Amino acid sequence: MKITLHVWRQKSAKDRGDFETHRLDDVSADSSFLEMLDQLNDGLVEQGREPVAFDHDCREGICGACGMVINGYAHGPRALTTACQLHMREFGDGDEIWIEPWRAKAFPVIKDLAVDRSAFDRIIGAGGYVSVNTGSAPDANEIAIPKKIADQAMDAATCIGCGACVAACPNASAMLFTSAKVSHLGMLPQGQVERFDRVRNMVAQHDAEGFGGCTNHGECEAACPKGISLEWIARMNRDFLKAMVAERDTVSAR
Amino acid sequence: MAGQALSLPQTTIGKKAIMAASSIILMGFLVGHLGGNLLIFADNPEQAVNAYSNWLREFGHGSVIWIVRAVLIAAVLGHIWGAMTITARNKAARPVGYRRKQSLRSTLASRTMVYGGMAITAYIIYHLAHLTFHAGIPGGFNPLDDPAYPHLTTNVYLNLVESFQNPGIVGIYVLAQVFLGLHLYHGAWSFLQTLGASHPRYNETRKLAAAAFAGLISVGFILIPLGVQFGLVK
Amino acid sequence: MELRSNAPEGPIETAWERHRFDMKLVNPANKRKFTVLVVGTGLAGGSAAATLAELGYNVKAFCFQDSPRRAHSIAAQGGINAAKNYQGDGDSIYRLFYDTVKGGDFRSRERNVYRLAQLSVEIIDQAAAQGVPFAREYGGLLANRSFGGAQVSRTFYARGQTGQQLLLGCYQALSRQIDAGNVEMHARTEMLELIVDNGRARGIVTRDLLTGKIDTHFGDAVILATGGYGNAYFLSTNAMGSNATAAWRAHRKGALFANPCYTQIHPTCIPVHGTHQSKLTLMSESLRNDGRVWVPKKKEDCGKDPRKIPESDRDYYLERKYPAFGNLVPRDIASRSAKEVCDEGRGVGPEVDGRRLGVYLDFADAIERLGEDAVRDRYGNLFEMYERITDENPYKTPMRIYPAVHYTMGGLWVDYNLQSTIPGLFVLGEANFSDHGANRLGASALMQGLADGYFVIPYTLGNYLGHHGREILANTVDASSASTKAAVGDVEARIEKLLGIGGKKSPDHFHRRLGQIMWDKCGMARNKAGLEEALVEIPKLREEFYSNLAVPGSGDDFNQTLVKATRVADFLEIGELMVRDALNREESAGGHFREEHQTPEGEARRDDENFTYVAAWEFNGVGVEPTLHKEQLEFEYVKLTQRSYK
Repeated sequence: MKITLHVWRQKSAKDRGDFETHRLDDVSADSSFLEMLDQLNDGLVEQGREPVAFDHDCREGICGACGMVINGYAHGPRALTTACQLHMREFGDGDEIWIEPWRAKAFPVIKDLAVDRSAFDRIIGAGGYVSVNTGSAPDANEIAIPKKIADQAMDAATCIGCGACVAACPNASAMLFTSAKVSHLGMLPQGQVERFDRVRNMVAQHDAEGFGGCTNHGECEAACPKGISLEWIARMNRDFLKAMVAERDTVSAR
Repeated sequence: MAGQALSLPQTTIGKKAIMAASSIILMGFLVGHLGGNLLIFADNPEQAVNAYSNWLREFGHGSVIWIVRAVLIAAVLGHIWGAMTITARNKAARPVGYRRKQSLRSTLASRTMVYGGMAITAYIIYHLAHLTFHAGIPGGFNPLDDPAYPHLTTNVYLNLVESFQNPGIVGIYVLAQVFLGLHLYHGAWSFLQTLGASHPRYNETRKLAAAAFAGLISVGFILIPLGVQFGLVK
Repeated sequence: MELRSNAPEGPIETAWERHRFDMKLVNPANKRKFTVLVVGTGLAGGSAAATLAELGYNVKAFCFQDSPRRAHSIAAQGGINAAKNYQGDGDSIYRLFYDTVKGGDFRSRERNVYRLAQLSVEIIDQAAAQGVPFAREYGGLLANRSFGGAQVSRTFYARGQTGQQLLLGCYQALSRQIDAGNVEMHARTEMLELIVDNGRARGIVTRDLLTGKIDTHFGDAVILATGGYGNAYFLSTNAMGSNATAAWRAHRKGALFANPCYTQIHPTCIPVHGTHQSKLTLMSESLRNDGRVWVPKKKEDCGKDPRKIPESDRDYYLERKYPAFGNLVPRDIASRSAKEVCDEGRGVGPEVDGRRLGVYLDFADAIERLGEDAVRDRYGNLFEMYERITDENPYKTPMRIYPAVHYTMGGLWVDYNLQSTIPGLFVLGEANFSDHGANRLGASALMQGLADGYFVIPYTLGNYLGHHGREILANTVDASSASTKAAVGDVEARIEKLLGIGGKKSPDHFHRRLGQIMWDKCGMARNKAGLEEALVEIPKLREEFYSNLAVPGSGDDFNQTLVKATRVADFLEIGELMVRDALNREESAGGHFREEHQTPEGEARRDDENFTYVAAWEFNGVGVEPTLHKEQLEFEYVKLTQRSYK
């Protein structure tokens, strides 16, 4: 198939950036979207031009490295699918495709379609863990966990940290990401001890990174390739307000 | 890692919680206000409306209305402050916008909350100027000196009826209620989400209830100017 | 060089315990004086970095991904083995040990494997305490399944995302230490050289992938946990970024590389769709429980709609050749049989480069027997993934599968303490050769990575520093040391060279061609003639690489082509070593099948008399024949037997 690409090119965070148009005449409908970009890049390299930079790694939809806004949709038009798992057959012969990076102040562009998502690491570092040193764990079956709770925790834990929620959110908010980890750990017995400190510290870090606030549009949930639910944001709000208003012994914030 | 303690209003969730909490007050007010105003469809509307207005000013030796007004002003200011700070923050969170962006789940209502909010604020000012401060909007002031209504200096009923003879004023009021309806359509479920009042079993109901609430309130209010305009008020 | 395993003598059951007691300790105040460099932050590296930081060491961790959370451990689907015997079905540490040694075709070190089986139980405890949401029964206790043909249910899992959840648990522990200032994390940073000073590993040379800055980092020990070298085949189930550079650079600096020819080929992957294919996707082996593998009997039928090929024209070759195990034969046999039928010209699916490489995995019988709903219950998510990638509905038309490179059992040689032949250089996880022998069992990779990182290295590193810490601290190594200057100079020269070739072809072009050679000649089945051809072709390709490579852009920004080129350059060297090892090993064992060494029925035939050893290669220069060192393997507990699946 033939396609026309309008790809965002930006040399560095300081550069203004603009779209660059390329035509590809021989794209296989069975190629993945990123393989199509590989093909574009191979051609560019062979002409001695710089290829389009983009992050990607596992190409199985689990590492969360890839991510770009394709024709206005984070990870492209197919629901529950990362860019690497999107296939060219989703597009028609002769289509024009617009590709932009995730856009958020907290995700500065590194180059072209690659952005810096280290803010997510810092949000996890602020409290997205259970403080248990290696070697101090009791037997794994010591604490029984209702299957339903374990399953729900798994639903939340399935987040891949790709940043599509931020990209899709009209406010560039990372509440879905933050709430997924807050809820995963907050639901399990192992996470109870630090539950209120965790939510407060993680939300504080979320805010410090310059993400917007949630205004309940629901775009994140729709864009999430793993189907993380808006329900977790409500749950986080609940825990956060409780932590701030009711849990007096946990007010010594970071 | 130590850092400074955050107070609730400094956080994004805190700001939203303040907006949600104030919205509860404002929604409560809307229900009461609509209830009172629908007296215009009573059998003897002039008597009903004016008596109700008089009672509002008399209740609790005239103190309650001021308490209510103070609470409402605080709620409005809190709501607006929350909206302004969070909107500013959200705009700053995406300095470079998308050339192309498609919406998947957001609604017209959710995307226009800020504009709707501004329109409603403008309307509130207009509405107060019209019927509270009598700032010279046609039909807005008809003097009254009736011992039956010791607390009234103006004929509230007549003010409404005369004003709503004017199609321009009716247009403004109706339009404002459309904005209000949209605002409530998103706001009335959103506040529950913000305050964490969610449960998978009730989340669908939550949305439906919000839509019903928004519809009832805005249609209820629209009925008043339209009712006068089309002569349905006795 | 004499290779000493340094494994404790005496009864195997208490070997690790006795060894731990005999090891030197570093007291808490002194731990702060030591800096440890950890390269790679997957299950092995991440767990090591977190644990060492908890113990009080200064840790610097490095990964090439933009976050430690994205290491390729994340893609492991099936599960993690542990000898918990929660199901009471006869499992034990000894059984897991036995199964692993046997599954590895008797080419692993017994004592290492025994320790692995012992530690497996602690891993599950640790992960559960971290909040890893393992699957549970209705009673709230942990669920297990049987995996990869094991006769007991010892596999713990979190849906089909066990690797993800274990890695996130370990990433979170690491994040806690980063936030506490105990770990200095360098993401998007690639190690390009090892600094060896005074005979000890003391530092690394890195390149910041964003700015291109060449930097040096010094420490008192270096830990490599950089994964396997499966991407030498270009197409594999590894991530695009998975590379062998760190391990290869250490090898060039003197670390012996063990058993490079042992590669695991996974039978149930989605076939190649065309020449632009960039990687292969694995589907869980569990599909073979209900799917029937077949190809047409006649070549002319290969292009036909499979549903129109009558039963009598189908060849259910696994059921035909292995009536007892049928479609459930081990990974290597299933893979090799698929290759055989495709080589006969009976492969199915679209033609790629004039060949059809694929066989059918048909669920029609299962759907008829169990109903579509039951099949959906068991395999729904896999069918969905298959359909997303191939646009074919496996409920209606048979799936197509083909084997793909999946895991490399070989790696840097390490002793029982996980120390390489360079003192102070420790190697963990898939990057070392230690525990899987010639073939790895399903659900054992996660177990090994975490055992190494959480429970082995924290002890053995302390022992090393306890013994040599004073000497190390007394010998300062910094930017002005001759060893550092040489290493940095070497890296700068390499980068400059790659940028300056000014040729016409992208790094991927050469990588693809290397992959083709490796897959054809050093893949599922190998023979002397093919391997010898590869030994001619690879150096030739390497020459072409250095004369016709195109790397646009500069070395001082985010240049992904340059990064790729540095990796391909090393794959072009490691590929040759893999071939040499395969040529040397005149037997068939596990993932290494030499066509010359098979039984009349086509089964792998080991040569225990001559090859019960670890082949550890010493680097002598590019294109120069390496020196072979042998570590003889002793089997005191598990009796050597020939596998049979008839």
